[in-house]
Amino acid sequence: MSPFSATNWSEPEDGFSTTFYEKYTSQLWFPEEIPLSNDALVWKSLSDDERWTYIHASAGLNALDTLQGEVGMPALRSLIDGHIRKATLQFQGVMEDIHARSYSLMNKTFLSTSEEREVFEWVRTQPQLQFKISFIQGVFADPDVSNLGLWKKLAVSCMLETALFYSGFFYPLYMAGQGRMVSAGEIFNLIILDEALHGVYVALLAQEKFGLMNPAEQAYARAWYAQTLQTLYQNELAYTDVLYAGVNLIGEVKRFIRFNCNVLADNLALERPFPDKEINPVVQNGIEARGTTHDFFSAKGSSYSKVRVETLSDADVEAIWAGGFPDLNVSNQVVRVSHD
Amino acid sequence: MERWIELNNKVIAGNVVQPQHDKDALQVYFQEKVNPNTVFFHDLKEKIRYLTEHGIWDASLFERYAPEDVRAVFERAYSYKFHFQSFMGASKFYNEYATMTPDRSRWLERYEDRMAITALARSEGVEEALELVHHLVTQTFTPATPTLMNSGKANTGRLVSCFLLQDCTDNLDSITKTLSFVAELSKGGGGIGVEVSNLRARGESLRGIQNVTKGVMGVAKMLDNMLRYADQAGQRPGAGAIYLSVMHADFLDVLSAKKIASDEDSRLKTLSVGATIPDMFMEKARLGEDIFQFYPHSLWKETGQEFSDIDWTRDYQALADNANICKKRVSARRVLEEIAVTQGESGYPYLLFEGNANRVNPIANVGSIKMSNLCSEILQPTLPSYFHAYGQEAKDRIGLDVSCNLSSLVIEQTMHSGDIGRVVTAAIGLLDNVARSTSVTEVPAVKRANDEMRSIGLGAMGLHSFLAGQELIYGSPEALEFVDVFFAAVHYHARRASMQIARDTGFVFSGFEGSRYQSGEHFAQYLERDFTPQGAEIAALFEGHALPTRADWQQLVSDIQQHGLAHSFVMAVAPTGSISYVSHASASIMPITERVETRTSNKARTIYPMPHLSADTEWYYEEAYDMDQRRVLDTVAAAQKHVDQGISCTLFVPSTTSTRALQAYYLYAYRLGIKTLYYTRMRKTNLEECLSCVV
Ligand SMILES: [Fe+2]
Ligand SMILES: [Fe+2]
Repeated sequence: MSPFSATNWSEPEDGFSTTFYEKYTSQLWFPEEIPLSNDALVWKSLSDDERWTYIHASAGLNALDTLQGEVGMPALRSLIDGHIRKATLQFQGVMEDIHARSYSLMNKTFLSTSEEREVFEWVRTQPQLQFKISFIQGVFADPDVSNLGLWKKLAVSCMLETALFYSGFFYPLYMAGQGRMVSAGEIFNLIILDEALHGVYVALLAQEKFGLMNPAEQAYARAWYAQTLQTLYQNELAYTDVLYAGVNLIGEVKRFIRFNCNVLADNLALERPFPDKEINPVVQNGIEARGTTHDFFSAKGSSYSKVRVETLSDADVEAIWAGGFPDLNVSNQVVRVSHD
Repeated sequence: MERWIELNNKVIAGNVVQPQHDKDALQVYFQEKVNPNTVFFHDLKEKIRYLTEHGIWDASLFERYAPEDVRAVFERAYSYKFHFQSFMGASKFYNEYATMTPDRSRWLERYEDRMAITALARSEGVEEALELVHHLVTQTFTPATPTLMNSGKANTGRLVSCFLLQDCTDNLDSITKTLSFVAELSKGGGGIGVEVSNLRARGESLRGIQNVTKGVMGVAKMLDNMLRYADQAGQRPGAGAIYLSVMHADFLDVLSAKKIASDEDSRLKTLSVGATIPDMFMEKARLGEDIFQFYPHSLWKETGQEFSDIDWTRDYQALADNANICKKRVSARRVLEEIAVTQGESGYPYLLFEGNANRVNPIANVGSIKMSNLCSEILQPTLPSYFHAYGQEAKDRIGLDVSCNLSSLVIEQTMHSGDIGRVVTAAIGLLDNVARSTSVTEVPAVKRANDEMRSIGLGAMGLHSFLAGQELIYGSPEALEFVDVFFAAVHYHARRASMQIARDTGFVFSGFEGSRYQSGEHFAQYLERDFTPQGAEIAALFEGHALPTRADWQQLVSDIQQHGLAHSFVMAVAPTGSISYVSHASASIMPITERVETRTSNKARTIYPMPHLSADTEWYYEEAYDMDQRRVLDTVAAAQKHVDQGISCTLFVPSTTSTRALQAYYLYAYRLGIKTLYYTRMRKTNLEECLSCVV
């Protein structure tokens, strides 16, 4: 057994993990920061069908985030080498747990106890959702830890992050784009920002493994991927039929799923499975991963994060008092991490 | 999904920005939404009868004018063939300002109707109303939202919506009174600033018992809850800010309540926080020394002084040396850094540099400036009130609070009108009318201040969009020259109009005697040199406008000495929101934040390409986050020289920014004489930028 080493953040294990770790920590958020109760009155004004789709979409996402936090990330973390990479994946797992908690808080805010119970029971018995979960669990549990085996695990994780979550995301994006359920929409916005990063990070790890395979393995991997995606895509279509029947959006959601499968393929450097089609522009603008401009007094925007702490020096102060200004591009060296 | 929402979203859904989709959205919005859903009247008479009989328009308004005069005002409103320039502008107006049927299914007013009725309500004769309606429809200036929304209505809400309260003195009667004032103002949609530095700090004694008071946070939490409770019938939560001195022992406690990592119990969710910062503190920060933060009750017991009355420059050393006063030691730069950390996380606190505000306080004879409002542009002296328990109200002493009464010039339209003086005079006339029409009896110190001081605040918006249209770079020397000349001219005409009202009506605000207006000191810079354009480029922009010369100012100063002024303050530059969309102008005098804004509010997500944005002009629409913020601060400092109150000034920084950069900007702003900094906005780098630093 080799001696156990400490994490050396000064010696990167690759060209990207540290950046992702820093990005994750800087955009850490908690659902308590968003005043969900602002939406309570709007919630009451929704039709029964609208409420049903909204809350069941969220509940399905809750189950998938729970899966990622509890099974997916720990599995990847234990199999991927490198202290920094493991730390990054672990943090990603924490984010998934926070997402799951957000959905649960939404239930708590908008539903009565018995409605809440019904929704959780629905998750336990919804066939397409359960199929999706157990299929992916199966891949995570597969004892094959060769490059190919690892790549499969990374790839299904990406499928969740970049494609399979989106049948659930469609509705809150569609609503928030029209000014309905804006605070909850803000939570979805934050989650989508997180997932976008997760999908890219894990895909970079996957591409690395893919590069280590020989051509025959790569060909096998491509075929396996095409088949797996097809299976999960068909399942997603059936799930959409159930989830969106009441609100007449089935066609648009399916187009959205195909769109995201293409993004997934781009991330994994594989061929796009579907022809490019326009998606609903309101939903498309909703997934643009960027901060939004906010009314001065409305919901907390997704635009704040932790700031880097760097001490002001005597030289800085004197420069300003002398009528000048310090060169902010030259660091003052004494950099601390925020002490909170 | 509604077609116009989809079309509007198409502006940025493609690979390149396509502003023409916005024109389509605008057209479809009128064709499919506004026009079919507007109640039809055969003529004006029928419209007026219907709306007055249904209790929507104020019937007494039409008794003040002859029918033909009313018709003339409406006809003038419709004569300009007004068109909205963006879907955002139209949807803002028709969703927020135009009156609808009680079930909100159909419109009762069009744009021109709202402007005509506002002109009639805010004027005393038909000539005045015709002049006002000209400005309102051509949008040379726009009144603040509550004035535009509520004028001429039968069940009128207040015409003003921003208040400052200094009542919160250190006893339970005053605190509960303040809470009830906040509730009263909040339910009517007000934004409220409350000064809290006189409150005893956490752990101070109460009736001689040590360690029992909950300090400023205890009161702040109550205010926070109250704002969310009194929420205008669920439409939107109230809005408020507390102002607390950095010299107060609870300052860091309150600051951390705005941090995102704070637990639910201690977090201030709705309430904003402003920090008042004396010169002495800035000096200690400069030197890198420690300061003492004081416990107000202990200080009061020892000296008999209220916290907010302390002159820190004069008294700090004596207080620091006094062993009988409880205090704690902390590094001034560390406090500044905490402010920067909290701003980085939450955008707050606002900063009020007390020294800069008070050095040029024109009515120091009335009192000192201790606080600001929710948007940090209102800066006026306040005096605390003293309240007593039920049954002993006779002992109450009513101080001076503030109600802010605001309007903004639209720079582009004001410049194109060819006559700044005419525009400003009309705007001051409207604001004066609002002051005279306002009586907030529920909050006696607000009523007293408005009755006696009649303060108003004329500001401006659309600076960046105007500059871009003229192919000038925001924050460049030419742009700064424009700002200097423009605001000097606005100041002249505003002050002159205020003098004329005093002369013509005999009303002079109380406190004029002994003020720096009366002595002429407030106008010293204008008697030293002309504020007229130096370069040909800027001179060309002002062609045709009557710009004041030194001789004009000399005349005005002597007229003021003779006739007095009707308003204690005449200017303030507010952050403009909805009204700048309606007027197709960029916000306030800040740089634009995005060439194409994506705006989320309780209405749909709306895409808003900046006014006149095209492939040719794009270059001049530099986004605020990409700028060295000194350009923003230089712009604000140039305007501030001519603005008797404050300017709402936001800092825009990239997410890679550090606390050092923020602190450097604070010090730079302070050195320029800027009075307040509003909040700091941070742009998150998006995924692509993030990856570009990876690959
Ligand atoms: Fe997640
Ligand atoms: Fe994720």
